[in-house]
Order: sequence, then C-alpha cells, then structure tokens
Amino acid sequence: MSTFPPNPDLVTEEFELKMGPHHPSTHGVLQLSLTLDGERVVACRPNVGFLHRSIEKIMEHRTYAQGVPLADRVDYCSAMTSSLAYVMAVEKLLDLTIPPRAEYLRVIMSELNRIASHLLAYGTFTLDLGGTTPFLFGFRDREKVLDLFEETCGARLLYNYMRIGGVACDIKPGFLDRMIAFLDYWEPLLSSEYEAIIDENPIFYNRTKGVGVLSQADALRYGVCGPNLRACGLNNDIRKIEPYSVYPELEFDVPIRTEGDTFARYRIRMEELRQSARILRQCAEKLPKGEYLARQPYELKVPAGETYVRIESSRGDLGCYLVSDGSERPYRCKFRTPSFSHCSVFSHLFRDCLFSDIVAMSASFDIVLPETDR
Amino acid sequence: MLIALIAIYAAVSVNALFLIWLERKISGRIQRRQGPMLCGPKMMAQKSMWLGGWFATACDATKLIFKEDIIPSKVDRLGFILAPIVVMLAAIAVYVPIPWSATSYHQTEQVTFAFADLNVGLLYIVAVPSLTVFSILTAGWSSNNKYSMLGGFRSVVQMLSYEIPMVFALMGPIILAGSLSLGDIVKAQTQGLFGIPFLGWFIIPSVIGAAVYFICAIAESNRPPFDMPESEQELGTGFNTEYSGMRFAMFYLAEFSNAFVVSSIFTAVFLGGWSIPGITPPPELNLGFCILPYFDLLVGLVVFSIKAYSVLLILMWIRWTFVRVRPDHLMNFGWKFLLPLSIANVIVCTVIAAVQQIYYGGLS
Repeated sequence: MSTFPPNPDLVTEEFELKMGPHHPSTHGVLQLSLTLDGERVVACRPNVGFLHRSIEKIMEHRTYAQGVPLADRVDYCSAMTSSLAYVMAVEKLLDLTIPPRAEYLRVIMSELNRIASHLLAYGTFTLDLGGTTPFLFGFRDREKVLDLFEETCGARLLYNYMRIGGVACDIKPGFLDRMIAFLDYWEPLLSSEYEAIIDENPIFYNRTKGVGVLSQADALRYGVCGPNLRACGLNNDIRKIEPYSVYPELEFDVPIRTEGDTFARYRIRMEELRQSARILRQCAEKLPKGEYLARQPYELKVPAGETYVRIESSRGDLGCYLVSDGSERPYRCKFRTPSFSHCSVFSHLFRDCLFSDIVAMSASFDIVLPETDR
Repeated sequence: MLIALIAIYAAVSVNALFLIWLERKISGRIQRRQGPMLCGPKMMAQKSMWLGGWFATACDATKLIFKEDIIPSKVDRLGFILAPIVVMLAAIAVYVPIPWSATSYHQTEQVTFAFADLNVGLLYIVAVPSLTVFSILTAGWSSNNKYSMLGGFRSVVQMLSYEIPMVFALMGPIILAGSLSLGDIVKAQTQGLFGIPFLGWFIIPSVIGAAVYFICAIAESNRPPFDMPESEQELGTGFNTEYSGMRFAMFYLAEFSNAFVVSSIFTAVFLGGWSIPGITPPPELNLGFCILPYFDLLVGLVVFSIKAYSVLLILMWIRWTFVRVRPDHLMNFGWKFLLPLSIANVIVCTVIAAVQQIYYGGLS
C-alpha cells in the first residue's frame, strides 16, 4: 500500500509525533502517538481519556431520573440516542410499557438526531480532507434540525428530552409540518449539493477509494459496529436484527457496502441519511394520538436485577448495562460505546499509510470523543 | 527610488488586502457565509451586498499589525525572523517584469509599461518565486515544531514536482514568440496566428501548456487544492504554525500576492496581456489609440486588470470547491502526467511556430 518504499542507501530516522489532543483533526481530544518516517506512518497508538468526566460513576450517586441528562452527555453529538439507551434500560428493569405516541416521538427524535449527527460527520469528514464548502453545507442544514429540537425541548445540543416512561414534552403544534417542510427542502440537496460537490471529484475519489480498507474479520475482531461495519458488508443494524421501539412497524432499508474503505464508510452515511428521512416521513403519517409519558414517581425504586439494552445510535451499537440493587439509585451503569471500539481499530489500521490518510481515515469512522471517554 | 519602492510595497499590500476581501466575498457567495456579505457599517452593508464584508478585512489587518510579536524561545531566531521577510521580498520582486500595459504615445515604437521589461523576464518570474520555497523550508525548520517541519518538507517536495512541468509549459509561448521578454510575448500575441487575429492568444496554439501552467500556478501560490505545506487540518497550518502577528501576516499577504502574480503571468503569457484581439492594432502600425495622451496605456491597464482578475476568480472558485490533494498523488500527477504533457506541448508549439514561420512570415 505504501507508495514510498524505503531506500536502503539513505539513512533516515523515525520520529515520534503526538498528534493531539489539541489537533484540529482529532475530533475533540483524541491523541494519536504516531511514529513517522517522513510522511509515512510506521505505527500509531491512540490514547484516549482526555475527556473523561466519570459519567458512569456520577450516575451511581444520582436517582434514576437524574441520570437522563448525564446519559445525554455520553454522546453529545447524538444525545437523543444515548439517553434513549439509558431510559430503555431502566424501563426494561421496571417492566414498563410506554405509550405508543411516546415511542413514535422517540423514534422521530432519534432519526432527526441521526440526521444531525451524520451531517456533522459529513461536514467534519470533508473538512478534514480540506473541503470547506461541503463542511458548511452540512452545518447549514444541521442548524435547521437543531431548530426543530429547540422548539420541542428548548435545547440545541443536550436535550434532556427522554424520560423514564416516555418523553419530556409533546411536540408543538405544526412540528410535523415543519419537519416535513425541512425534509422536502433538504432531501433533494443531498444529491444536488452534498454529493455533487465531492462524489465525482477525482481528488476526493483518489483520497478515499481503497484507503483504510478494513476487512470484515478485522472489523469484527475490534468490535467495529454501526455504519462502519455495514461498510464492510455486514448487516448489524440493531433496528433490524434486534428491533426495539416501533422500528418493526416502519419500512426502511439498511445500506450495505462491501469495500470497507473510507469511501464506503462515507457512502453508507449518505444512504442512511435518506433512510432516516424515509422513516421520518412514515412516522409523521403514523404518529398516534394519546399520552406522551407514563408518569413515574421522581424517587423511583427499581426492582433489583440487571439488564442490557442495545440500540442503534448514530455511530453504531450503543449498549447500556444497568444493575439495580432495589434502591432509588443505580448500582452500576455502564455504557458500551461504538467510538471506543472505533478508536481501538486505529492502531491496526494506521500503519504503512501516509500522514494525510490519517485524518481522512479517522474522520471516516465518525468518532466522537466524549462517547469514548464518558 | 526609495519612494518608488515604498509605493510598490504599499500597492502590493493593499492589493493583497483587497484580494483577501475578494476571497471572502467569493467564499461567502459559494458557502452562504453571513460575515462577508454583511459585516461593516450598517448603511453600507444594506445599500450594496458587494460592499459588505470589507470591515472584517480592515479589522483583521489592524489586529495583525497591533498584535504582540511572539518569538517562541526554542526557535532558531535567525531563520525564524528572516523567513517571512524573504517570502515578502520574493513576492514583491516578482512584480518587476510583469507587463501591465504598453503605449505608443510620443514614442517611436510601442513601449511596454512595466517596472522593468527585462529581456529575460520569463526566466525571472520562474526563478524568483522559487525563493519562497527556501523561506518556507527555513520557517518550517527554524520553528522547532514537527508539524512545521513536515510542512517545510512538503513545500520542497511540491516545488520539485510542479516547477519542471511549469517551465516546460512556459516553453511553448517562448517558442511561439521567439523571446523571453514578457513585453515581446504580449506583442507577439497581437499579431494573430495563421493570419487570423482572433487566434493570436497563445492559449490557442498552446492550450495544453496553458492548462499545465494553470495547475502548476495553483501549486506555486500554495493555494488549495495544493496547499499541502500549510494544510490546516493535517499539520495545523504547517510551516506557519508558530508565527503570529505581522510575521504571519507577511506569509498571508505573500500568498495572496503570489496568487495575483500567477494570474497576471497567465494573462500576459496566454491571454494576450493588455491586448484585445482584432481591436488592438499590431505594434508596428504604431497607431496606439492616440485619441488622448496615453489613452492606449489606460485601455491596456483596464483590459489587463479585467483578464488578471478573471483568472484570479477562477483560482478562488477552485479553492472553495476542491478537497486537498495528497502529497504522493501530487507527485504522481506532476511527474507522470503533467511533465509528459508539457513536453508534448513544446513539440506542438514548435510545429505551429514552424508552420507560421514558413507560410505566414516571421513572428516578432
């Protein structure tokens, strides 16, 4: 793969470069300890933990209801899905059925959040390759999704919208119309702007096609999940293989590609954006009337036991392992986060490649460091 | 002499500031940026979208001038201080032979309006910008920063890959015009090809050369998609990471000034410089639009500016459209594609020049 074969006559020296945690392209605070031979990367060791906020420990000292805003902060780029995993785990321990309207609202918010998160991924990926215009396309439309969140729950990033037993509040009148209006405006832009500006560009093509190829076996070995695993040709979409909420009632496809390279990972996300839009349109039609919250006492006592819930977050298989000792506080709450696995694959993948490839590849995995460190 | 030097320096700097504003406007148009559209005194911004945004550039310049001059303690001071000066020097020096216009007023023959119409002008404009590479390498090395060092190395790699095709691309016009003087090259383009005045611009016989030069010119001025030495997302602005204040501003101004220079050279060498095909008379007719004193000079200046800025707008358009090239792809592209292409261009131009010489009489 290397295009610079080492020259035996030339005495060269490898050097260490600590890339990050304050590097513009490490998506927050990832540190990559690189061993470089000029432009060529010899070895890479990812160091995580710079954003550790001990969310899981803090949760043990809060009531179950107080854990929801903390769960938001596990993945702040996709807060709806990370808090959804938490409340679903609590509900499973409580053996609670939640109103159908709440289920639909959860799916609507999760899919909107997936759009927002994938737009962010698209933007940062193209920015890391040096394209500022696609980056701003992504952010321009992400703002419009955040507007929808803001009118619903008042927040644009950390929503605190999921509740044990449903959601915090109903949608405002006309929300669905505004959502459909957004989809009508934005969906055509996917092909006319987003893909038009980079997909056929030979520079982009050369920098992503065949770069960072991850085989399916290696991907499974490192616990790669979500869109990144679907780019290696395996359907692991939790919404399909272990359906939760109302996903069985909704029609959508799971995009699969077999190349496993940077380009495939990017394409999977673009296709998922379309599928999310499809799900949202169905939800807007099917949304039932009724309660949005099965009310629970604030100091909620959860029966002793343990459970594991996994959902398909924007980044992949997000799991929440919850242990209850029968008190009003969780005994242990552990999150299984996709970005952590994706960071671990870097040491395998970032070898014998060029320095420029590193930013392209790491961005294509769509890692979010708060999720890695928690 | 000193006044002239200061005037040139001021003109180059003000032009570069204008270009920074223009670049912001273009990016604002392409990306729907609010700042470049509206930033500025309220009245002005509302009256005309085109005037909005100049305030940001003015603030930028003021900030950079008044910023504290920081020299990190571990740098190689001599190189660190010299690099931005040399870069600026090269950026200004390269303006010398560019033929802005020409006049026949009160002259026995058409005289090129340039700071100095060197008889080796084309060689000069190829040689002088290469100084930039030395200073970028010096800046990268002396900064004592690994990212900067990689940026400096990349700059050298890039120069080696594009400079040779660039020189070959410029060989075509030299053969066609039979001269290295930029003024003569422009004059040769007013004469037309095969007796047809509209074919006079060298972009027509040397279209491959023009394309190769244009690509190399982007690389030469370190602009995206060939901005590998400073690639913000990989190296954290590479060779100028450690620079701040006025020293950083010098790199920045030089970059924009170089962008203008390469589009001026493209205009002079391939787009007929100050001439309009079919309208501007050949120099030997010696008419020169003598309606008013120096009228031909003014028309030439306007025509030249329009052409040069149009080329510049294309450069800016490219900047906001493409993603960055990988260093090894650039080398492959330069050595395996541009170089053979530019050599083929030399052959094509030689044949055309020979046909022109035999059947339609000599060029200039």
